[in-house]
Amino acid sequence: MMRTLFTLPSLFLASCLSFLICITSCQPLENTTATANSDEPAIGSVTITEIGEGKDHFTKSFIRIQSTIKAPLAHAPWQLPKPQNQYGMGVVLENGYILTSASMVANTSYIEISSSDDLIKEQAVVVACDYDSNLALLQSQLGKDSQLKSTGISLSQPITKDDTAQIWQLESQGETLTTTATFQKALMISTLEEAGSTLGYQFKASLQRSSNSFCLPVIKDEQLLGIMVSYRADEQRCTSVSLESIQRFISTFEQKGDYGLPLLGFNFKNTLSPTYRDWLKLPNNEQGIIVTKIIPNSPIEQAGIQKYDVITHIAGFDIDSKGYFDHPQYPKIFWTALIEQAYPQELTLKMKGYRQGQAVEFDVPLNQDLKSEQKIIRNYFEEDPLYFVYGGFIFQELSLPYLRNVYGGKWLQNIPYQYFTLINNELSDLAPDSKRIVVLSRIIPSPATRGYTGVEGSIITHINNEKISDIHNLKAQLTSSPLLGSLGLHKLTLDREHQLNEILVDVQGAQQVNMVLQQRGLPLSNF
Amino acid sequence: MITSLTRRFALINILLVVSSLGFSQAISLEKSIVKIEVSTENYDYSLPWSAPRFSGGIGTGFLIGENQFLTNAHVVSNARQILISSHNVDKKYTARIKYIAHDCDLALLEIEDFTDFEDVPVLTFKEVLPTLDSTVKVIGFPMGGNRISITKGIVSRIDFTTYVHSGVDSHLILQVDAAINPGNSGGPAFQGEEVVGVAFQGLTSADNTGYLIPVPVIKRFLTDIEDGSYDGYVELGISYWSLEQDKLRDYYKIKDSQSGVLISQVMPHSSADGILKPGDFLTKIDGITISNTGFIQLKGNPVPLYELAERKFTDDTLEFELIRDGQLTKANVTLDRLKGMDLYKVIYGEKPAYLFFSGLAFQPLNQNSLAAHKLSDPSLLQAYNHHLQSDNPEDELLALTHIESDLSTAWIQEFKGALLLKVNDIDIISLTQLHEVIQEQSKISPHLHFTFSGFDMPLILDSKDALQNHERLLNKLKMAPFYFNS
Repeated sequence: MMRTLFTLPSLFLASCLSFLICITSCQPLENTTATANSDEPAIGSVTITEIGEGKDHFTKSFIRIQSTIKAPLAHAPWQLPKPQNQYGMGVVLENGYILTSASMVANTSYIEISSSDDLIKEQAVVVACDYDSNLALLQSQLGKDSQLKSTGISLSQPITKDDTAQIWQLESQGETLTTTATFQKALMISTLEEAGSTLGYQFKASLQRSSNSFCLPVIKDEQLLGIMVSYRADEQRCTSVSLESIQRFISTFEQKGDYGLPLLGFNFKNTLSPTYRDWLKLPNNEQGIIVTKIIPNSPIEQAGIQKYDVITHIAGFDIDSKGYFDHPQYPKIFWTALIEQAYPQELTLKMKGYRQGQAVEFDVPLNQDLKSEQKIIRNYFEEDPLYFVYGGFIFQELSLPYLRNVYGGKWLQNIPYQYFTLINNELSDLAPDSKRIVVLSRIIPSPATRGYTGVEGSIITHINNEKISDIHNLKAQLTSSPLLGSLGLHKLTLDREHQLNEILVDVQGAQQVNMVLQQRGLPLSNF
Repeated sequence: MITSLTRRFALINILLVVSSLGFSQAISLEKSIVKIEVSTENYDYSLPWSAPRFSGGIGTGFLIGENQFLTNAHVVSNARQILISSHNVDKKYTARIKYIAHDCDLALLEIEDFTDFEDVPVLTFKEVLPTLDSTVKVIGFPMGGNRISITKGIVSRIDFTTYVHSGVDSHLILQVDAAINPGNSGGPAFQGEEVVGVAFQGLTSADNTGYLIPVPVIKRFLTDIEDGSYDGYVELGISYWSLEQDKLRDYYKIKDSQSGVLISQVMPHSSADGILKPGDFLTKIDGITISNTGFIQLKGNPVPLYELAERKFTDDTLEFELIRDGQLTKANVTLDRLKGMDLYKVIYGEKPAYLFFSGLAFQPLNQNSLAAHKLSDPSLLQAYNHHLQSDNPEDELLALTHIESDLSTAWIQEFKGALLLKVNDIDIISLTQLHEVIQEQSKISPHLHFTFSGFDMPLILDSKDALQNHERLLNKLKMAPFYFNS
């Protein structure tokens, strides 16, 4: 699915300086661990290289990235968030784009790219940002006039166990640090999207902290093997997005201008329990995963799969009782890798399984429709959470970031019961045509809100008896003429159990309050 | 009055102390004030079939009638043995609880042989509430020594607050700055020779903030037990708003001359349910005018209107005058306890109920089992918090609190701490009914499906295997398969 391109306010940086950096072909200045065999770098060894003559195109392909994160406060979007800077790296690809992780560029207001020696700085724009695979493509704002061009790094070949690769870091002075890492395994790693995952690699290495993020290139024989996304110092464990994911992301974007992965729309369980296997009449030698819940209108539902079907084969691969399959390159990968292997070249994913002991087959359509379907309570990136202030009443739409911000880490148990039932029911009786749930999130005490206590968090269903489908039409309703003409009141209908479910707002009073709030620096809405 | 569940204060409780020696001569009424030594057995809700834990403590009590010693409920809760001693008699007397009121933290004790106390003066209560700034003396057996102690202070505030003992009830209190410490619980506070309150809790986060149960609460307790049993506080069950904006008064058709409050909520299954409605504008309660902020004048003092319900008993009525849809009308509410709130009160002195079957143990969800198991499943907590407003608040909520480690339970550990909804599609509403359903279904159905809230798939047991495992595990653990409360 297409996401909008980023546009960032333009800034121009002058000057470019030529520079040269030496790479591993030079003699290293110092080696932290002595090895008997100097040809192979010791596991975990760190090599520091000097600035000097070297393979220009290769080292010129490492780009420093500094991004300014300005994530709006979901529970108080009228407050300016404190900007935070994040530092990491990217690599120039042969197609000219700069590849980095999506974490580096999500919710950022400004992205600066610079040469490894920090002498050239330019502003970057995001060309593609895929939260499903945690990858992003950037481009300098200067386009073909960019000084940060290079012929780019080519992509490597898949790696095998115990093979080594180098993780590159840049120090502030421009020195490059390479750390040798041992490949341990490939596995599905979680990404930015809710329940998102992609194929990743796990390496063992002891990294130094040279910046505040671990977005680093993983290189093998001067070719790109992965983009590192996280590091566990206590376990010396590096996790990177895999070469396969990078290849898929780049080729899909180049061919179709698109990215992202489909959501098949179901929950599943393992078939470890002998009792479940008996009850489902699963033949003895079959394993697979049990479908336990299906989201309406999902690709899985469209394929005709039902609750309690057991899926034993996907795309020709056997699925074991925990959900893993034997990948051609790596042992035991979780079955979700098969989605990204198929999409978008394939239109369907073939699945086989059993229903009450009878063999069944399905073609699951691969599309991103379920994601674009308006989920009532949703996750979002790159959008400001919308709010509207009227007379001191503050209205917002429910979303996952809002719930987490307002109700904390244990939000599922702290949210009002009504929200809880909404989350559990995909289809809401509350407002079947509703695209969003609008709530009275807070009250700023004012003459127009006096007397109303204990109503924060209430869901607004109607204004003046007109159904509210999202915050845009709530704003339209409140700014249109009031229902009770002679009294000059708006009636807000709330969805509250056993309670008086109306709030009356004095329009004139509210407008006066609005003026005062604006004078005091509170924007009344951000749309 | 039921309060919100979130306020917490320190409970001034009792202290383990060795027996006392000599006594002071300073006060004339000291004979009437007794030390209460309690040995407790506390049931373990985290392992309900295990033996109780033994503990104990010290509190204070005082004589208010013929073989009637008043103290706090929290002093004598979970007691196996209660000994009363008075300083001038070199003897300890076995006592027993005659009446206990957990919703207002009071208890009445009697001793086996009252002879030695026949000549001891009975303490009397001051009918009128003390005024702010008036002096009080608190007498009792707090920590810091063995003999009787007196502390002095003034009445700082008269207010409503949560009584920590049950956790959900709040009533009138007197706040005093006399030192009240562990051991003072249950002891009298005097003005002159009259008792104005019972020391019972304090605010640890503040200085000099102790609380007394005032005479109206004590008198209500003593009146309630006159019929031979303690029935408890009654609840109106309403919340209300003040109509502070003139235009709102116009909307609800309330004339300027009429004062009162607008009902914003009526608790389902409460006394007012079905009689009063959200949107009713209450103008008078029992003939007394309600102010625009919900206050009434009671004996010359402004008090919140729910204080009238505080002083009433089961089956008493409250007459309301109200405006509904612009019309002045009357309504009578017959008062009763809000029974559903029992789910949220701390339980004392009761052996925990449980049902064990084939390695699974179920317990009714209540404040004790929730706390003991630190249950945290969001579906379970949501259902628990919402239960009072559900259609059947009298139904029990059952949690799978324990799964015995055994090969037969190897694949089902994920269900621990979950809320049980159905067995073989039959809705489960009580522990005893669960027992019956399991007994029946395990015989007639090849599988037992336990459906839990928040889980997409049920826990499935093969019936025959389950019955065998059940017998085997009972033998191994040497435990009773169930315990039900009456």
